[in-house]
Amino acid sequence: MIFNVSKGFSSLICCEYSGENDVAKIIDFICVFYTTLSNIYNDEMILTAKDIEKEVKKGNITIDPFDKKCLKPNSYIYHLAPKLIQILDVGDKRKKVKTKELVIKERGLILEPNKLYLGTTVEMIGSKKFVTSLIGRNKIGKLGMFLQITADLGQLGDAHKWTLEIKVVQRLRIYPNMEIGQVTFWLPKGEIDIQETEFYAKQNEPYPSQLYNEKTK
Amino acid sequence: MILTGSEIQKEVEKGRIVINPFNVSDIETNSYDFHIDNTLYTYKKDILDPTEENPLEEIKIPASGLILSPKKIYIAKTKEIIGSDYFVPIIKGRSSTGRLGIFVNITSDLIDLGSIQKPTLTLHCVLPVKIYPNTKIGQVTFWVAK
Repeated sequence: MIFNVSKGFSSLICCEYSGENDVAKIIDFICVFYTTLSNIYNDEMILTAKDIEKEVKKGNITIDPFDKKCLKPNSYIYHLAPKLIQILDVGDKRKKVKTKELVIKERGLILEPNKLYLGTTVEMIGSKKFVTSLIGRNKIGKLGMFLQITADLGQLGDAHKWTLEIKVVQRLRIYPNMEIGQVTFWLPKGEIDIQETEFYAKQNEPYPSQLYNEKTK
Repeated sequence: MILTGSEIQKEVEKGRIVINPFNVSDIETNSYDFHIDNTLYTYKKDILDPTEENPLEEIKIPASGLILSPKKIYIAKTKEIIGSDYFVPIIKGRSSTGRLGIFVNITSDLIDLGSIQKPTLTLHCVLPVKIYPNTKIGQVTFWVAK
């Protein structure tokens, strides 16, 4: 694309300049100019705090409730909803997983190592324009909590309370509505095709894996 | 957009990325390898609490190596000072450490713009594993901010 445009320009310039060296220099300049422009406007980038706020106001990003105080230089801090589920049995991929409901009381709840918990964000989060990625807070990570087990990448689509996959290395006391993680927003490259069938993106409760439900191809 | 190795080097030379000490030999295709600082910390308490102080105990990695326990969290730092006002650093393990079941960070791999320091590593291993001083343990990537 860039190449074609500069080629077009080069034929135009050829009519006005007779010196071949000059033409080569001008073509070079135009190529660099277009590459720089395309780098500025077309490539995927992470949003800074200012841009997250701007896009929330424009309605391109949903964070509800939204509090300016939770903005970090390149992310937004989200909170842990009081309802958790503990996964009791994931032994068989073809069966529905067994779960137990837990409520985090004001005095806290101790999470045990070697157990898997699912929670949700307090906030409704989502965007059809920017790809979300959810990770835990630095200070929570230092206390040994994995937040999201390997899959931190969200999908473009409806805003919802995201399910958080939680595991701890050592016993850890957690509290309702605590600051637990940060979400980043990334500008994608390419045409956006939002899949209507993304069932996880419609859930506002801790939602176990639906792998057993997926048709084996 | 992620920076390639040669872009990382260019930006370090321009002063827009800080990596100190910086070695050309530690540049990878699209990241830079960092080393572990030889002082680690573990927690003294049995139950950790984010609302209280959680006292730490210092451990040095001896030349003969240190065996990490899967039941513990080890707080460490990189040897290098890393940061940037222009690119967002994201910390990853190296594939050679990952294949040994070592997590280099727990959940938070993202560094704030403008934070220029020795990033904290949170080591955790799946199986007992021995680590040595100055091990090249992870890599840092740099991402363009809008």
